Amino acid sequence: MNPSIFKMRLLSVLVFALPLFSVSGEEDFRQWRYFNDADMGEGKLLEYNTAYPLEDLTKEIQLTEDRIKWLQEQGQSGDFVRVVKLTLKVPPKPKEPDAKPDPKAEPELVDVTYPFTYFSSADQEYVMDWDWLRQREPFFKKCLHIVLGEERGIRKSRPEPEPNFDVIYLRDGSKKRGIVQNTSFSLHAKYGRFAVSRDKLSAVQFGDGKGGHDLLVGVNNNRLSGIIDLPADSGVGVTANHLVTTNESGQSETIRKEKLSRIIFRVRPNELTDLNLDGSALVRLKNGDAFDARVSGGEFKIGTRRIAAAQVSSVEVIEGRANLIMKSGGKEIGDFSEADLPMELALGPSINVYRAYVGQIYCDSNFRPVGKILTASEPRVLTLSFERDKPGVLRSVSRSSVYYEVLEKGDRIISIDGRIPDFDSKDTTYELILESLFEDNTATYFVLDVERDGLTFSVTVRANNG
Amino acid sequence: MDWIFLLTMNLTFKRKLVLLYFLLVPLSFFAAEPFRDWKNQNPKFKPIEAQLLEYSEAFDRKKFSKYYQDWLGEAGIDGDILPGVKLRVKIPQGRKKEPAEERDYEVPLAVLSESDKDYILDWHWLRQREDFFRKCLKVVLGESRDIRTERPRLDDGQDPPPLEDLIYLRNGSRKRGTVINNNYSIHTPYGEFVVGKGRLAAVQFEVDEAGRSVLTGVNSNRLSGFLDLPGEANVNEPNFLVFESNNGKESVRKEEVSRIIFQVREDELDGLGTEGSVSLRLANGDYLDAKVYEGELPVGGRSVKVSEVDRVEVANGQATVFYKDGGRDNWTFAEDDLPLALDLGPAFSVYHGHLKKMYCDTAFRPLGFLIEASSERDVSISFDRDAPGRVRSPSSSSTYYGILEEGDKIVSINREMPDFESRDNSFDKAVDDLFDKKEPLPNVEIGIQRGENQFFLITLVRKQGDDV
Repeated sequence: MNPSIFKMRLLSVLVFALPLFSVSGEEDFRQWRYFNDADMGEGKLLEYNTAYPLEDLTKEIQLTEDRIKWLQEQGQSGDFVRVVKLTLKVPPKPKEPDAKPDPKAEPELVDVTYPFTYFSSADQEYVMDWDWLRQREPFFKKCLHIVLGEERGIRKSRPEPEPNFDVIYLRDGSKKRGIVQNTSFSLHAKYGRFAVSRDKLSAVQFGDGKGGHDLLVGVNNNRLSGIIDLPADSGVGVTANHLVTTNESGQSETIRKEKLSRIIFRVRPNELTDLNLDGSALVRLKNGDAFDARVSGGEFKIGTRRIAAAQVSSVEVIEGRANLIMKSGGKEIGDFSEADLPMELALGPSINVYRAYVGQIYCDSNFRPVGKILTASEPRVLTLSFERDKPGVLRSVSRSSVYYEVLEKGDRIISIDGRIPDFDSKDTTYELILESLFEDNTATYFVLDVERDGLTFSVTVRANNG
Repeated sequence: MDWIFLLTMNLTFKRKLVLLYFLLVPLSFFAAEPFRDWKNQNPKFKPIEAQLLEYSEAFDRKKFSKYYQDWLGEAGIDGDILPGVKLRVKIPQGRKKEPAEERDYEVPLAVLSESDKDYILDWHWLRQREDFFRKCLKVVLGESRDIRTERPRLDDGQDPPPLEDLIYLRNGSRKRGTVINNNYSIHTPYGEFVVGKGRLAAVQFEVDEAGRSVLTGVNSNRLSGFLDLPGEANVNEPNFLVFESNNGKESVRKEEVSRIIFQVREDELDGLGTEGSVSLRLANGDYLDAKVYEGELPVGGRSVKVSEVDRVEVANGQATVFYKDGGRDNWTFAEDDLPLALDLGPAFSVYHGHLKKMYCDTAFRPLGFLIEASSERDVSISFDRDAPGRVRSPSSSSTYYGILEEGDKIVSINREMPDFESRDNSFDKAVDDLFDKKEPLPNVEIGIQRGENQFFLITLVRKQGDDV
């Protein structure tokens, strides 16, 4: 994904999920106050540093012994102190020493570094929030905010407590909040059997009870379907086929697997840290499953040849034959020389996928489609009309639309690129994303999550700009 | 040359006649045998006209007449217990127009000509198997299973040809041979178990996009889920199907197999459907026969004997129990899981949430969709004129609306291949029989094929209280 589309997507995060800060852009000037409520003047936050050398600070500002003592009383002892760096607007010094400052004169911009404790508690909070968000910016950009049409519990600002609960939906229509204790979920997919750690999952969908349509959704939006089993986990008091949760009052509750409809896991701060994504490709199977995985050995074995995955842009399996589109622009066609393709999933397990099950493999990390892939060469064929009173609900889909027979009247767009869309503003998120695709050329594709009859599916729209 | 001569000379023709007789009129199996000519092993004797009444491998030598006892002695045949037949012999009276006297005789088998011996042994073999032929699944997934319909014996010095399984591959080819894999492991929503080959009539591999496979038991049970072929020592690698064909041993990846139609095995129904076995219908559409632990249902804090129950209907964890005596109770299950032993082999526990219905009466085992009808008209189907057995679109008022679709094909009726070419087609005849006023059939089982891979069953029954 290029930086501009990244920015664009971040905008939607900031506008709709994190309205307080514009972290990635430059900070605005604002009024700052000292701890004693005295006016510090107008300033722009540049940096927050939790370990600034005291020695350096004494060179930048006047720190008398009294002030150092006061800092120590505020808990700032040792050789390092917490500091805030600002650009302050300072009135220009009068040319004559006795002259009065001219209020109309353009202020000078001066960078200053002050101990954190110099600031009022409100400003301290502001700095802490700003820093917290800045730290988490990459995580917010990457993490899955919405899954199965449902917002995951996520801590959006520093002072908020961590969202402590996962949401568990039961088949009887009720909803519970609690912390899921089961540490892993076992899947029998048509391409193998494996277990995925709870900490790598954003959601679990228990299918229609007929088997085969249960779904594990990874924190990276990977989708793996089959029959889910809940293995026994004696370490946390879980017996086979039961889900154990701890509720808000700390009590443990056990629920039979068959009573579960879905689980929406809260966003955990470290859920993306251990994803095994280096050198991974997106593997899409013919049954609709898709996952990030490393091809074993980092190469495709086609006939007697070995082709490094790093040289390949994508692979499409057509009538059992592998069609490799090379990054160089060339094309290689042949049969996979092994019946099973060994793969290491980014979510953890290693599996062998029978070659005939593979649909496409996208080795290029810039293209990670989800669901059905549609291609459009102009925005006209992507025009959608929405119900006036129901934001995001489709009125109809014309025959000339690329969505024809993919989307239907009554379908609701629940997310665009993994974020809650805004259909109320004049420029809706959908219009903005089309602009970025065809006018700004800041995006090459986008992903819609659509809800129909209580079930969700995804569509990836790719620009074909000639 | 008379017809007896033809019969004795042309074994194949004779055997065909016997077979035709038994298979086309299976329910009249125990009807009286016709009188026919029987020849002595000594060609000097004239044939006798007689009716076969009984054959036994263990006749008491002393029960034979003195004539036959002496004959056996002269022929050097020892032993107190010998195979023999009971014949009702027509003894002509002096004048030709007088009706012949009929008298029963016990005759040692050895006395009869070779062709008559074969006739008797064929008759006996078929009679022994009548019950099996009636019960066994002759057609599965619209395909006739290879079945031994004749007594296996040397023909022109050759062993009878072995029966074969049919293996369909995804590339469209079909293989014949004997499948070697013994075990089929299926992971269903209600449990995971292994079913032995000997209890399977068919396997469908990956019938839908989700990758679910379907096992069809020899008792028509349906189990669907994810199928694995476990590795077996000296048989197969995991996920390979191995079969022996004319080309020798062949090994195919599970993913390349579309379906297997197993041959009918002589012992495949042994021990199935015995007392205490119930028929379960599950929420995922599967149906299976199983024995409830100790023959008792643990419901509502006590146990009820299965033998007292007609059926149980389950909804939202509540069981409605219908007793054979007409009584009815609404209960909750005492335990989450009901321990069962499948008739097909494995034991497991089924969570009550997976259960929809349980039929405890062994006489009523509906398969697939159950349609209760008051009249023949209720269950009539309109067929495509140009495509025999092909269903035309059912109207919204039809009993089949929502079950059958235009283009569905009827591929079996009452476990037999249907005949839609004759004037009285199999379907109309079966429906007639269902509502026959004298001897109505208890139900009609219809096998339907939709598209390439989808097969399902419909059971037609008369609506309760609508006795003909």
